[in-house]
This record gives sequence, C-alpha cells and structure tokens, in this order.
Amino acid sequence: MRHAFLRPIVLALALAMTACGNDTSTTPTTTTGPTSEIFEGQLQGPGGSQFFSFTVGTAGNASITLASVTTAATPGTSINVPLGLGLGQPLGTDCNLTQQTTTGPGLAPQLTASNLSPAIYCVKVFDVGNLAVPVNFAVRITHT
Amino acid sequence: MRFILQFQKVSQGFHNKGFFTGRMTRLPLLGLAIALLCTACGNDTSTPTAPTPPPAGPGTETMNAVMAPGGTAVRTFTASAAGTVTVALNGTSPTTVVGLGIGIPGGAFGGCDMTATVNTSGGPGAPQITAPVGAGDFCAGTFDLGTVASGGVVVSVTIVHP
Repeated sequence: MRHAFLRPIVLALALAMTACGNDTSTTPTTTTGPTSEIFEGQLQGPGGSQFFSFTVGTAGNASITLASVTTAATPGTSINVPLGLGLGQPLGTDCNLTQQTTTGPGLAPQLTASNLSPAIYCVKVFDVGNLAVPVNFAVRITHT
Repeated sequence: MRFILQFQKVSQGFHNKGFFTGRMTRLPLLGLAIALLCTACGNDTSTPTAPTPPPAGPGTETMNAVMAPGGTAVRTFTASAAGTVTVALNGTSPTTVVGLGIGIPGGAFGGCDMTATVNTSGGPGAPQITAPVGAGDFCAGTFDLGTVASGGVVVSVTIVHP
C-alpha cells in the first residue's frame, strides 16, 4: 500500500481525539452565608426608641447583639445601661415586637430567632426607664 | 502504554515492508505523534474553583501604634467561634492613661462601636478586658481621653481571641 505510511499519523490523530474529551467547564458553586448589618443610632433620653428594618432573603436564623452603648458626652467610652432590645415586623410607623429582652451591651447575641421566613423584620432599641441622658448605641444583626 | 505498543507494532510493520529502513526515519514520525498528543490535549482541567478564604481560627493579634492627640488606635479581628476575648494594653510610652476598649466595627469614634472600655496606662493587671463573644468580627484598641501629649503616645495592645 502506497499510503501505508499515513497509518501512524492517522493512529496518532485518533488517539489524540479519543484522549481528549470532557472539556466541559463547571461553574463554581457560590454559597451565601448569613449577612451582618449594623444598626447605629441615638436615644435622646427617657422614653426614647429607634428601630431598623432588614430583609430576610431566605429562611433561616437571626441573631441580634446590642454591642455598644456610649454616652454622647464621652464618645468612645462605654456605659453599662440596660436597654430594651426587640425583634418584630414593621407595622405602620412602628416595629411590632414578637420577642424582646432587656440587656446591657455585650459581644454575644442577646436575642436569637429560629426559622425566620423570608420577609421584612425590624429590630427596636428602646429605653426601659434607665436613661437620664442621650446615649449612642450599636446593634449587630446577623441574618440569612 | 497501549498506544506505544501499537505504534511500535505499526512501525515495525512498516520497517519489515521496507518503507522505513532506518531508525532515524522512524523518529520524526514518533515525534509527530507525540507532538499531536501534546498539542491536542491540554486544559482538560478547566474546572474553575472559587478562591478559598484563609481559615479563621484562634489567634493572638498584637498592635503597636503611635496614637495622636484626640486619636484612636484600633484593630479589627475575627473570632472563629464563640468564646472569650482578652484585650491587654501592655504599656504606653510615655506612660499615659488612655481608653482601652473592645467592640464591633462600626461608624463610631475610631470606627469601633465600643462595648466595654477601661481607662488604663497598661502594664500590670493586663489583660484589662475579658469579654465573652459570639463568632464574628470585632475590634479593639485605644482612644485618647484628652491626656495624650502633642508628640503622641506609643501603645502596645495584645488581643487573644477564639
């Protein structure tokens, strides 16, 4: 056969074609974890309150930490004044609380909620009768 | 391996038939076959992988900084799990009473919303702050109480976290 010398080339090509396959690329999987939001504000004094709304995108847990209470007069210096801390859902111009506690500032969550359905929720910070002067506060909300 | 054996067999067959009578004439064909294989195959592993963040874990953070009058020196850190954090002001130079605190990163004074603070010049009694924390991001550091001179003060802070 005159063209017999082509056989090894054909063989190599065939091997090359069969050896290569599965070039399929895979899209990287992205997992979204809980997100944290910071709610900072000021209570003006006795009877003061503020609330902050946030959206739970997927069903899951939420934790709320009243992390900081400082006097407006000495920024940076913490004071251990117990405040009301609540979780609920916006209703009209207020936050309709479904659970609440009274707590001083800390770095571990003081309120937790399990299996929240996707919806809009709110966290409220309010005076429970301890405030004599304006205070600044910061709350960390971790949710899905 | 199977390919090599097959290729040798084919080459041997050609040799017997007289198409290629020398070792030198077979080498270019072998080289061509290998080159074809090499160029045809490549990038078979095109699976992209998401970048892996460095694992968070227990640790000790040390900060040495010069704090200006009216200023702050704050460092952020991540607690990988619930546990206890200690914050120590090892010392100040020149010796100055400053505010030492721990909190969460935020928009307050120095970018750190303080949870617990003490006034100290450091040294004996360290760590001056011990606080239980949940997992998450936190900050700790010093702030001027109005006591820092115009040349500033060197502060040395050590944070131990889960």
